Amino acid sequence: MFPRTHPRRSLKWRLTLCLALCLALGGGLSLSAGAAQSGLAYLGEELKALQADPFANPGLLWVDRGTALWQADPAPGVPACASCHGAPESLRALIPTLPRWNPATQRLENLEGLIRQCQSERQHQPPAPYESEALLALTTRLAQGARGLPLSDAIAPEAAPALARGEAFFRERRGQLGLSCADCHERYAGARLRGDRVSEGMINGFPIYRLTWQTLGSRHRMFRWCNEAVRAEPYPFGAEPYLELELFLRHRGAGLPLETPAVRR
Amino acid sequence: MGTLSLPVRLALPEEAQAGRVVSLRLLLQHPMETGYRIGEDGARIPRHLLTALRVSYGDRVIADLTLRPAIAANPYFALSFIADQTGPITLEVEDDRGRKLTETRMLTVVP
Ligand code: HEC
Ligand code: HEC
Repeated sequence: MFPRTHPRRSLKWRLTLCLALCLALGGGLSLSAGAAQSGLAYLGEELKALQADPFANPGLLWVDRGTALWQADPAPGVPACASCHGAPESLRALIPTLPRWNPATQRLENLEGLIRQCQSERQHQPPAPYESEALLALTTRLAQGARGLPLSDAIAPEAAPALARGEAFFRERRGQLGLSCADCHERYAGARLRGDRVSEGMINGFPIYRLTWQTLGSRHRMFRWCNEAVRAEPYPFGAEPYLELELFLRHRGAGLPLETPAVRR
Repeated sequence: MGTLSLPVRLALPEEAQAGRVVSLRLLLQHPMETGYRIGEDGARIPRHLLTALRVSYGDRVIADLTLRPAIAANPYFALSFIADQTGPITLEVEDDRGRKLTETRMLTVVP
């Protein structure tokens, strides 16, 4: 029996990562071109196999938990998600279209936001906090039900300004290191970083099980991590700029199949 | 010993032919905190580790492991053994807080 071992996340590790990456960038490494590729394409064989393993993919622990939460009454007399929605797969078609524009509120809403809204408005419960195990589990279960569906490029005309702001955020240099998302995930996608490769920064695998985190995390956790990697102040979970970024990344990765729960380095 | 409750994925056939190799796969959801890591709030995350894993087949212990802090979070284990008699497969996992998880599955062996 050989349990896997790997390095733990620490601030030191993160800074070393930045340094190593900057060196790699300085060296002017490979550039990517052509159609969008999932982060899966940038993984080594071992992690590809782990993601594909229908038993050992660690993200499935959250899928199991999500199934249980979906079916359970949150409190006596309060209906379960399943009692109104049926199977989680009934929301399959919705997942690739998120985040989406809500004309009533004039705001973007993502999957976490919709789940929390149902918890508070239809179950009259306190919504699960962002990045809590319960919210991650439900999000993962719903997204897993849509595996294989391509990320949609359908964007309401009213959301055009939000999409443009998302793209601007993606291309803006930020942090003490003055790097934009595009610097790392477009210009230097494919650059080697201690045997690993920087991917195109796609969102089709989320929530992802990330070895660096030793746990599962949401899209917004990833954005926070990437902001911190260049020593920029991260935004709170669910913040408007992150919803706009999510919208832009859905557009940018349109057509990529959903692969939740993805496994990443 | 207190009860340890954690999400477990366990894969084991219910039935096997005598003399055949059976594989058991196990995935445990656990942070395996070493006590050296600093959390988002700047405070040290308290040590919390799984310490032992034992698998028995009938009254024989077929695996007895001491788990070390270097093991990653959410550990995965795989183990093979030969099916020779119908009997319970019992899994015991212990943590450093003196708690224990026990799971039992029946393995039916057919000729
Ligand atoms: C200093 C370089 C750097 C910058 C700048 C950066 N990232 Fe990342 N990003 C990484 C690394 C390293 C990873 C982990 C390896 C990988 O999947 O590419 C990552 C991963 C990701 C992923 C996960 C990809 C997957 O397949 O799961 C997303 C999404 C992402 N980044 C988005 C962003 C966004 C949005 C920004 C801008 C706010 C950004 N990144 C800025 C380095 C960077
Ligand atoms: C009392 C019934 C009820 C319960 C319980 C309930 N929902 Fe809903 N949910 C609804 C209704 C009604 C809508 C709005 C459907 C629509 O507009 O098409 C909705 C919408 C949603 C949506 C957006 C669907 C869409 O296509 O716009 C999601 C996601 C969702 N619920 C998740 C959940 C989750 C997760 C739970 C459990 C934590 C849950 N719901 C519990 C009734 C319920």
